[in-house]
This record gives sequence, C-alpha cells and structure tokens, in this order.
Amino acid sequence: MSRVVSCYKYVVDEQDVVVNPDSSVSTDNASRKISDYDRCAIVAGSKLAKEIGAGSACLTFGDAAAEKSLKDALSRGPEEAFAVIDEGAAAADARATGRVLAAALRTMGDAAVVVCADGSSDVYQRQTGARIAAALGWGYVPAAVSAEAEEGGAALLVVQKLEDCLRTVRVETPCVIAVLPEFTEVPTPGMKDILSAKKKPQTTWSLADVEADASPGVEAGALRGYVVERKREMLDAPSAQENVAALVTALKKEGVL
Amino acid sequence: MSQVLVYGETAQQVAELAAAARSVDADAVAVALPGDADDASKTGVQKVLALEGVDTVEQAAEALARYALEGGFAGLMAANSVRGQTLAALVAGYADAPMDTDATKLSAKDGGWSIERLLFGGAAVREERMGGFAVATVCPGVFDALSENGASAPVEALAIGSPAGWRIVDEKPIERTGDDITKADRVLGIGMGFKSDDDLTLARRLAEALGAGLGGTRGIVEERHWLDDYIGISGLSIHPDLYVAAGISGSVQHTVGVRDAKVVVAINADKDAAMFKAADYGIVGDFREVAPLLIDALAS
Repeated sequence: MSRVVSCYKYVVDEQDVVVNPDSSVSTDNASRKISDYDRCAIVAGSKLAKEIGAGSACLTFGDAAAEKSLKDALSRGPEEAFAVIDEGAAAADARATGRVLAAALRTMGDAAVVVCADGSSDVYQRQTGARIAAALGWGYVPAAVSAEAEEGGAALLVVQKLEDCLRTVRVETPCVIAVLPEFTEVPTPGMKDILSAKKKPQTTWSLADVEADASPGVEAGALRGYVVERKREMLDAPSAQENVAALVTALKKEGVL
Repeated sequence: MSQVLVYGETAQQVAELAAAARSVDADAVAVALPGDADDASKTGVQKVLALEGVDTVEQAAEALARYALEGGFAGLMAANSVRGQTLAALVAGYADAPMDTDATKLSAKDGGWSIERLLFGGAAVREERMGGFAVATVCPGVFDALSENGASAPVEALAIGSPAGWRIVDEKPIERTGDDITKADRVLGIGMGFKSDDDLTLARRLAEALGAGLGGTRGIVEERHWLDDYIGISGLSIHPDLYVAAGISGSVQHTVGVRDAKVVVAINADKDAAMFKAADYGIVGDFREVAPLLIDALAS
C-alpha cells in the first residue's frame, strides 16, 4: 500500500533565542520543538492519507536529540515514524537536507505524496520540498491551502495561494506538496493520541543506511542579533489626554503628521 | 562578464535583479513568459528568454537548470514571490546547487556570493557564502533598479520541451478589499488586543483619522479573519513614514515587517510589551481609551 509521508524538522525554539547586549546570539539554553509549520504538515499528511486510503508516516533528518521528537510527531496522526540521525544535521543546509530526505524516501519506496511545510520556523529557507521533488523527479506544488485526491489517487487537485491569485493545479502522484498554515487546524494532541503514539513503530537510520551525503553547500558565518534602533521614548504623563497631545506634537515635529 | 539568470514578477523586480547581478559582476538574462518579455527587456538586462510551452515559469525549472549549467552561468537570482521562490528552489534542486532565500544583502566574495538573511523569526541575522553555481532569492527593495534601464534588450524564444508534470486547472484573482498598505505613507497595525467587532470599528475610525491604511498581525488574519494579509516575517514588509501599532505585543516576527518605517508608535495596555522596544514613541494604555482621544486630537 502506498503512503503519505510528512517531513518535519526538530528546531530550536525561536522564542528562546537570546540576543546579548553586544549583539551576539545564544541558542545554548534554547529548548527544541517540532517546527510550528511542520505540525500542520504532519496533521495534513495524516488527513490526506485517510482520504485516499493510504498509510501515513512522518520523516525527519536530525541530530541525536531529534529522536525525542518522534513520539510527539506520532501523537499528531501518522502511523509510523522514520528518522535519519546524524550529528551533521545541525550544520546541514537545505541542499543537504533535501538529499537526505530524498534518499530516505527512496529507501521507504512507497511514498505517493510527500507533505512538507513551506519552510521551517528557524531558518525558513523554503527549499526542502522542491529539493526532494527535483531529486526524485516528482511534481512540486508549494503554498498549498487545500488538496483533494482525484478518484483512485492518481492525481491531486491542489489550491495554491499566490500573491495575486488562488491557483488550482492538477499534479500526478507521486508528488510533493508544501502546505501553508491555513491548510488545516492543528489540534493539541490529547491523552489518547499521546498514549497510542507510544505503541507506533519508529525506525531510525544513519546516513550510510540511506546512502546520503549531507555535506552543506552554503558556508554559514556568525549569528548576529537583529537590532532595531528606535528612540523608545515613553509618553508617561498622568493622563491619557496629555500623552495623546504629546504624541501628536511629536509626530508633527517628526513630519509624519 | 559572467551571466546570471533572473526572474521577477514585475518589471521593477527584474530591474532590481539586474542590479543584483551587476553587483556580482554578471550580466542578467531574464526569463519571462512571452506576454511579459517586452516589459522585462526594458530593465537593464542583457537579454530576455521568452519561455514557450509553459503556462508559468516554475514549469520550466528543469530545462532552465540545464540551460544555465550548459551555458556556464554563475547562477540564478529570483524575486522571493511564490513563483520566484519555487522556480529558484527547483533550479537549485535540479542543479544540486547551494541556495539562500530572502537575501537582505548580496555581493561578490571570494569568487562566489555572500548574502545576509534573517533567522529565528527575525531575531538574528547571518552572513552566508556560496561558491560555484549558486541560487538566491532576494527581498524587494534590496537593490535599486539599474539607472540605465530604458534601452530594450533582445528577446529570444526558448522552447521548453518537457515541462513539469503538473498543469494549471483554474486561476482566480484574489480580490483585495482592504488597503494596499505596502504603498501607504501611514499604517495603523492592530493586534490580538483587538477582540470584538466594536474594537474593529474603532480601529477603522482611528485609521481614517490618521489617514492611514489598516494592517494587522498574523492572528488578525488567521484567527480573526479581519484582513487578507498580515505584516510580518512571512507576510508583508511595509515602509510607511508612520506606523502605529495598537494592541500588538511586538514579537520579532511582526516587527521585522515594519523595520523600514520612519517613525513607529506603540499603544499597549501591557507596559512590558516588546513592541515598546521596537518603537520611537510609546503610550501605555488601553487603546479603547487612547484611540478616541487620538481621533479627537487629530480632528482639532
């Protein structure tokens, strides 16, 4: 039986990123999570699988810590989890990630639809789905807000949200789609989902197991905090009336009113 | 001079990418649908390839990757729109090339390209370098259009033999009912502090009094469904003279979208709201109290 496979990334939680006074950035104490947008891809993939009568799975490429994410992913709908684990994942760029996920999908051999998010919440490169599609020679439809299968699952009708139009595209399976957050709601897993996740199968592979090369093509420099220089002048007179008057005066002086 | 393939949605974007190519010592060769080729030819590019046999540029990605590699191109640069980003990422995939997205800076370095981009929802910036055949998408406005645009470049037809195995079935233009805040001199942004229809009415009245377009955060679009587009890292970037943020907590994902505003004002009942750090002027207060006073002050 064919499968719908949702890809996800175990990322640093951007809320925990610390920008120091000297503009250096620290992620040392940051917690990790399944990228918010990928949770949508996982739920979307599981739903689509049910609609087309296919199996469902989730797939990730990450470092050893990513193994902790498999149960969370499984609690959101997929029947089985796969992970390619390598310490090099932390330094992987989109080219490396695309190669590894494509290799894993070849190893699985039965994917009919691959569902990704448009991008991950840490680096938001928006390339992975395209890379997988190019590597496997499949059609790629990003910015998806809905998808339904044609009779028999030979093709999907996908609605894309572009800047100027909603575009419906017919793409033959196997294919890769990348979903926007509005594609589906993401419910919080309940106790039943969490308990059943523990019983679902998990498979972990090394890079050698899937015959993939994860060397990055992009050389990354140092992180710097993004600093917004603003006056930060608080208008804190006793009454709102006074503050509003002071604001109008200031804005007229700035030449913007 | 080396060459770079470029794709932009509009003549302005193509002109900016022609400048981007020039900044890495390359001539730009634009790819466009036949209907857009004439406009693209007047942007300072060296040549335009009018793609035949496809309904949209993304369908030509595999053929263009081959064309660029066989032609010894330095790479491809595209607008970071859905079509541009898709074309670029597919070309990068087919060429097995490195790619960086949403460049806020781009230049030549050590025989390759150096770019800067935002990470972690806009909290951090990083410089990244790519060598060999490279692909990048560039944010609008990063480059000024080449000043010598105007003279027409030659247009050459390029037949795409086997376009991608998907086709467009329908296209419905998106009717935007709200203001085009990307062109507005003043914008009022509202956040999740606005909860009711009365709050929305008050917001519209304040926007009108300010002579401002009305914009909002992601929640206002995706949860309240009050507006079509949101201001923020994966949404709109706006450049008004005045941005008033009311009831907005000020996450970096939002404030990144207004970093180019000349003056920013924050109104929030929470004195610890991050928005105050990203503002020039701040008033701690409930907008339900502040907004009517501001409307009156502006009228007088």
